[in-house]
Amino acid sequence: MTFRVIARLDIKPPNLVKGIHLEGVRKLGSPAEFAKRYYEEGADEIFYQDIVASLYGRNSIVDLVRSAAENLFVPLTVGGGIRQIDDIQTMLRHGADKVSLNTMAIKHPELIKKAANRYGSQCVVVALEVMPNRAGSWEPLIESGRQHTGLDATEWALKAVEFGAGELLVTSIQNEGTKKGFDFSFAEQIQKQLKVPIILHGGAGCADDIVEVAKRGFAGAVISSVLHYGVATIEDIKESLLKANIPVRVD
Amino acid sequence: MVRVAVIDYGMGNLHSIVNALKYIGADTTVCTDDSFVNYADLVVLPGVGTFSEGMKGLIDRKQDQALKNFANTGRGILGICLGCQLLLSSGEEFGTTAGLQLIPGKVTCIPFSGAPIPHVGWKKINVLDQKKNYPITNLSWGYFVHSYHCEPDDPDTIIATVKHGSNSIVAIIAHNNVYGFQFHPEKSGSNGLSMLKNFCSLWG
Repeated sequence: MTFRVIARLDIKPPNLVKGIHLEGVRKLGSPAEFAKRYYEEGADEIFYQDIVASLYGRNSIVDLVRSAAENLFVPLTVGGGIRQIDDIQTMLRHGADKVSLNTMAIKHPELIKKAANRYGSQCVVVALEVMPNRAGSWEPLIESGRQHTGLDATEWALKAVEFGAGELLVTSIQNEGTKKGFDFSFAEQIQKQLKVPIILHGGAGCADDIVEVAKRGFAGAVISSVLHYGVATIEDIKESLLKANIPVRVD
Repeated sequence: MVRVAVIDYGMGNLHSIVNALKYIGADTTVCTDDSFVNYADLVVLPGVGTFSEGMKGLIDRKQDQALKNFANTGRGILGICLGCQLLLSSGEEFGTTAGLQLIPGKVTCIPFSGAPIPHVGWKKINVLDQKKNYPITNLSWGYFVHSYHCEPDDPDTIIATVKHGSNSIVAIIAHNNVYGFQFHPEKSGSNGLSMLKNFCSLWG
């Protein structure tokens, strides 16, 4: 499979923002401008995450999705605050290709099944935001990393796929925003047990970090700080991937 | 300028395909009923969803019969992703459902052969040697996102394929004036837009 370089924009409508460990937020500018630039630079997909929807009960990202879809001719995934089937319908009709579910998927896993039955599994990404737990394994958190679930992340991942998730997005909260590299320990555990594509998020600091994700057989890397702060461009990253003999899309 | 009707059958991402068609200069209308037969040079059947829900959506709006009538007039039909799959005789997602029967064949689950399923991501589209005269840009990148694939009865209807694991799966299918793209040209960057533009220029 061709490896995917996915640009992620964390959005506190109407601004693009960036945090570390999923909190502490800095305004960076207009999401549409950044998204357009990444699209033109060769991003394989764009990911919009509404980071306040789960907290404040708002779902104001729809307008941003609609205007993004006007200029972006690559797939757009939208996450954050999707609560019910109708929200998914709304996102898809306004230009999203896939939706990413976390809080609602954990609270109501039957929503995954409902969405997969109506829209197809390929449209439904389940996002796991994980931290190590005291039992020596991993726990998925919800509400933008603010609430513990007490669940085992591996068991949850398997369950999510059984319910129809077509793709898993794994974020290591500890690495997110640090630019210190990705954590693979949890992701590699579930990779062995699942056939669905798994994409990683959290920690990219340079092109080589992303090459490492590809070498370990994951379907793609979801990156934000490294792009927003100009540490590496998508072109740099794809060049490094090609040098490492990883197939990527280049025009 | 080609007049394109995009079929709204209650599901799927209309916004992107409509934007893409407008971007390449097509005179584009969204049609929620069967009136497209009156004005369109080309009909686009988009698609995100499941086969059975898709057929239900078309049947409820009487668009299934209208599409069959439209095909008989020799004007163009382009199915995209689920829309491509619905063109076939039947689909096997959640039981067997009859399709539009415009291209003989069936839609089945992609068999596992080492690569992840659903099939998600970018692939180079290989136009088959014997089909090189089709006016579709060769070796362009297409974005694929699907779990089911087209298995046409007649191999001559296969225009292009992509590799997935150790298999080849259908990327472009055609029978007379009815075409299907398994990938999303409206999501395949600038290459996708030029494939779409080339294709539209055949019809008006």
